[in-house]
Amino acid sequence: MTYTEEEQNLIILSSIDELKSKEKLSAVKAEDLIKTAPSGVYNIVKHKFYDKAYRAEVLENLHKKGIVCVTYLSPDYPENLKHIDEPPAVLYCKGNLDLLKTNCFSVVGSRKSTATAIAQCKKICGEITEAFTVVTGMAEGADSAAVEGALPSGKIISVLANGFDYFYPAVNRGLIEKVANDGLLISEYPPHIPPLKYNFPVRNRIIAGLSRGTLVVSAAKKSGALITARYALEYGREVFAFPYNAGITSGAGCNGLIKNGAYLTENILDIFEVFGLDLEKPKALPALSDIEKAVLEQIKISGEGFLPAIARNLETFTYQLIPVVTKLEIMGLITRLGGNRYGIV
Amino acid sequence: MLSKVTSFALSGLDGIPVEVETDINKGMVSYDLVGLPDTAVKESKERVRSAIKNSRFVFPVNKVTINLAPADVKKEGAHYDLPLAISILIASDQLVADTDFVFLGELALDGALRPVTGLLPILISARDKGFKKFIIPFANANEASYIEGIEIYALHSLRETVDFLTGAVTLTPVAGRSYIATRTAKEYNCDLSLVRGQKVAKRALEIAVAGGHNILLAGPPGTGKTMLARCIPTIMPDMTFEEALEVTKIHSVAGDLGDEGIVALRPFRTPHHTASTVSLCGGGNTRILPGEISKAHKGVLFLDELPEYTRHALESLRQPLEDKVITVTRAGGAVTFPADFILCASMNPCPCGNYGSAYLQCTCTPAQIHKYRSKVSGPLLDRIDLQVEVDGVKYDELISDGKEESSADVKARVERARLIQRERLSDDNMTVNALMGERQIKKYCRLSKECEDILRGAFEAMHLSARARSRIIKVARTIADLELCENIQPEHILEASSYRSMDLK
Repeated sequence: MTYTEEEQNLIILSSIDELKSKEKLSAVKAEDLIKTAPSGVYNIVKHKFYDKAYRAEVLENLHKKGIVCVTYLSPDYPENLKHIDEPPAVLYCKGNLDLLKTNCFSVVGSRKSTATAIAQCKKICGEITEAFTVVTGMAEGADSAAVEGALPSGKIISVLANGFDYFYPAVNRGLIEKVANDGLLISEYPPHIPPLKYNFPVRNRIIAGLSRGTLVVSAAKKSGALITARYALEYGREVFAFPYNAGITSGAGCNGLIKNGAYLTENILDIFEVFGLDLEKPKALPALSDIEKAVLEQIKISGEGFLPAIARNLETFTYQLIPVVTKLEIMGLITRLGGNRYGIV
Repeated sequence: MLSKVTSFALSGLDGIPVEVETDINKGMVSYDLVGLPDTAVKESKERVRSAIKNSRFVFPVNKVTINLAPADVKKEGAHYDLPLAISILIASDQLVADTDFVFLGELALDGALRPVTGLLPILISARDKGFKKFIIPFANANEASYIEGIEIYALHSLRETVDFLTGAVTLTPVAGRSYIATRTAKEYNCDLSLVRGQKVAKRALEIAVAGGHNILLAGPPGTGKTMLARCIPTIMPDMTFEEALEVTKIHSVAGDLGDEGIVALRPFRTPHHTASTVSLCGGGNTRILPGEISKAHKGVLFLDELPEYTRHALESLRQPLEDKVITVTRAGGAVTFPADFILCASMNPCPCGNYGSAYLQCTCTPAQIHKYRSKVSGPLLDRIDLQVEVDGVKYDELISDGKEESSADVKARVERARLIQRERLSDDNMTVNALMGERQIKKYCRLSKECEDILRGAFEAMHLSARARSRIIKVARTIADLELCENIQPEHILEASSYRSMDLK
């Protein structure tokens, strides 16, 4: 990857920790930035900026790690992102860069989500990829589910709040590597920046900025997902949210969004309709036997079902329903909620 | 004069004949005991001296030399008191009698005979080696009464023993007892019918016992995991006499055999999670004793709160779970104890315990849950064929249709399924499906194309680890046996794959 002189300037400035993110962005032209650098760090910035060895080292290092930089000046820089406040000067990327040119749709949610929400998030992300590239973070819970749902199609952009030297959260190491292979990993931070608490809300502006719409699958009253939704509103993008029953902590934020005008989203059609996309006919349900249909109906009544209770209602033995629910689970129609309870997807 | 009396040493579960030779010479008064005696045997000198005196005999005031042959086997335990005393009495001409008896017993200072541990394995070994007549402490009579083909006399004191040997009193041998009668008289104090609801877990228990599979119960606290586990022995087939003797031998060596004399009910062992590796596997410095896993032989080892056990202790279970025996090796030698048990473990689904509960919100982060579950290593989890979630509902909401099956009903089905397995696996010298290796799985568990497809789908949808495959097939085989099906059907594969809920993704 070769960069123009000006792009290189941006990459070098981006690598200087002493500069605040806003200062890196305050001017597009590197020389302007040098001039506007605050006096306290002026000497450091000037020294590093004109140090040839340092410049070569930074670029060499990125190259070695297989990181491609898409700078604000690059033709690859996503148009949507240019229109937000404080667009990142440099996007550090790993993976399929073509995804930056596709239509994006972000799906975000809380780390503590209900098992049903996780399963539904995964399902809807698979469907979203028919029209969009899914943009999300990498947190456990809803974000990971979104990644898993979109990963088979490869249309997944995961925006990290740390440099690529770090795998965060550690449990998702495998998932991070898969996204780098099949999809695209993005970070506005140079590789050596560890995950820092205050960078996560800032990162959310990129998720919202890349996307034409944002779906919040779960959010408590104060949730990072709501920050993403707020950014999306600010940038004039569409906001969607899953509806929740009253009293579910991890759904209060979603219901709040809906009260304030977000699109209530029950399924993929609710999203595609807003963008005027061809409403794909819902896929025909796989052929189900009578007992499978009956069990599915039972679970649908309240969205979740307790296996022995279903057996009682259907006047059969619990153990005879175990293969049935397992089959429905394999088909992706229901999900396990723990304690022999099952939820509709 | 020289005398020779026979006794036995115990090495693991094997008895070794020991000759107690006493020689009394004129000379400086002394008492020398040679032939690798341990502390308890060395101390016998004082007990024997007092017991002889208090039984109205005279302890020789001469040079007494006693040898325990063979000289290279360690002699441990207090059961040499009686043979030592008899041998001294013969050597000092205070007793003239034939000595084709095997003597076992500890002496009190007043000459009374005290019970000894490890008697049963000694008697069985001795019988197999051709010994016919035994003198044992009266308190051990129950334990000995189940062994046929030998003459056992249970006596109260040294004096009585001497009178019996000289013919001054006549005694009848201990009457043989029937194991069947003892077994039918005993009952477990729990029953499946007392557990309300928990249909899924009950079904899983039935499968586990039928196929000899290990089982993990996961669920919120207070949902009846322990109660369910306690019911496992009640649905296992009754122990045969040979099995009961094997189990009794272990408990006899461990010294925790009660008054019953034989372990007629399948053992249910619940070591606390602070248990050390040695207490689980067995060990000891001088005398190697069986651990909890051997005491659970032919029964159930219940590990409550599995992740709380030390990693070291859990990992030590892996090899015995495969081999069904454990070889404890110490500097003094190696001993093999049987350890053929069903492992039943329980755990909370997450650190706060509320994951999967219908009412309480789980407050754990995914990372915490991951960390908690990964305390149980993959290889150990791999050896647990069934992982079941228990119902996370309140007691009064447990679904009960009024007719809870009793343990006896389930046991009947289990016995039927076990019979099928025994016949099928007889060529391979196995009894239950859980023991099958890859070769037997290929031979006896042919899957139809439909089953293969379902299995593949289950792997993708449920994120199962590749190692779970043969486990699922084995469990499916057991389910098919319970349902009296010749071949594994798709629903058996589906059900079996639902019992892998704790697999780490």
